[in-house]
Amino acid sequence: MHSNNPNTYIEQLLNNKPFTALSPMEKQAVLMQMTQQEYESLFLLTQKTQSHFRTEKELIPRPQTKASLHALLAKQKKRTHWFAKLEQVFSYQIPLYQPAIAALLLILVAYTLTPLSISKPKPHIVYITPTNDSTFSIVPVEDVDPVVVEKAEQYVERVQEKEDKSNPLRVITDSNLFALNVPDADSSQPIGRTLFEDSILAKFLIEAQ
Amino acid sequence: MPLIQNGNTRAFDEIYTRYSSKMLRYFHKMLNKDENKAQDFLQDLFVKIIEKAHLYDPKKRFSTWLYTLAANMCKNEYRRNAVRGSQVQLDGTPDLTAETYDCLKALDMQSFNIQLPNAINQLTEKHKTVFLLRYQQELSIKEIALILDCSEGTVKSRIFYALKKLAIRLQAFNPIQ
Repeated sequence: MHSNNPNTYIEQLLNNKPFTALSPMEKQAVLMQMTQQEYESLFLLTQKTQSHFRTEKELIPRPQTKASLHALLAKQKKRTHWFAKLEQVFSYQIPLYQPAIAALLLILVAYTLTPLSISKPKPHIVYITPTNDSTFSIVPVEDVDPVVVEKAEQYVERVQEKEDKSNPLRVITDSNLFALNVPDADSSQPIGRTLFEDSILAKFLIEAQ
Repeated sequence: MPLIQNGNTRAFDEIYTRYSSKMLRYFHKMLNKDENKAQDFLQDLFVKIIEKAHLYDPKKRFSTWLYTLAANMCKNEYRRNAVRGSQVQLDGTPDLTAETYDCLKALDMQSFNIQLPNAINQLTEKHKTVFLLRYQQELSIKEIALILDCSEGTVKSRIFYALKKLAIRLQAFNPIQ
């Protein structure tokens, strides 16, 4: 009979029993919360309040209220059926977690049903065969007509330095003092000795000895 | 309710006859004995019943739904008043302290009937609602809990505190003290 909150228990007693009619256990429970005098005053108030509301004068609704409500009801009747149904659908309330779960399942199903090939398209491999002429052909792996693409030509303009022939004599400076026998960098003659020439020289020296 | 939804006048009349007077009394007490406002609220309540009939859950009792709508309307009115900063009107009646009414201790039920509504008006909206639903509308604790969407313990507790506050305000009518 006891609830967690003692006030809730006392509320029940106040509606039914005066203090003198309480059992010893009930009295003990009441006295833990209030004095006997307090209980009796609350009990009296409860009884008086109940009596007040029972003898309260009756209030009568305005007659025009009912008339206007009847008019509204008639208007409601005229409403098209589909509109009422539509309104019903939109006002239908469901817990928030339900559409959330539905959306999650939809995403999951869509993800599992979609093949990976669709999501990642296969690259189209094209092998290019090098040729000597100015064009080369692209041979695709599948049986596709070769596509001939014109090779882009590269034009390199060489700018030749004009040889200064006005003064055939070299000016000897500190930087080229020891390089008088070194041919010019732009000379067509090879610089130094080859291995073959070295071997001939070695053979000659050995035979001379 | 499906009949009302389809515009059935007889079904509506049945509900109106059964509940209109009760609800008017409830609004009258909740709205500080303002009868015009109570009449307006009654009309608004039944307009809601007609227009929102599809929101009624047939698994629940109709009276529970009706009182829930009524209690929410009063709650909104209290909130609006709070925003406007208006005070609860008390008919200019002073607080009923023991001193003021010392000479009236022996007054009969008639005097109590005059002062009780004023004392109820001084309760907070939550306490007033549970108190009126319990003692004026004579609803069960369980039904009040469903209407206010709270536990039965909370309802009992609120009733108890409302009684205690009323006892303090109306102690002049208590011959025990």
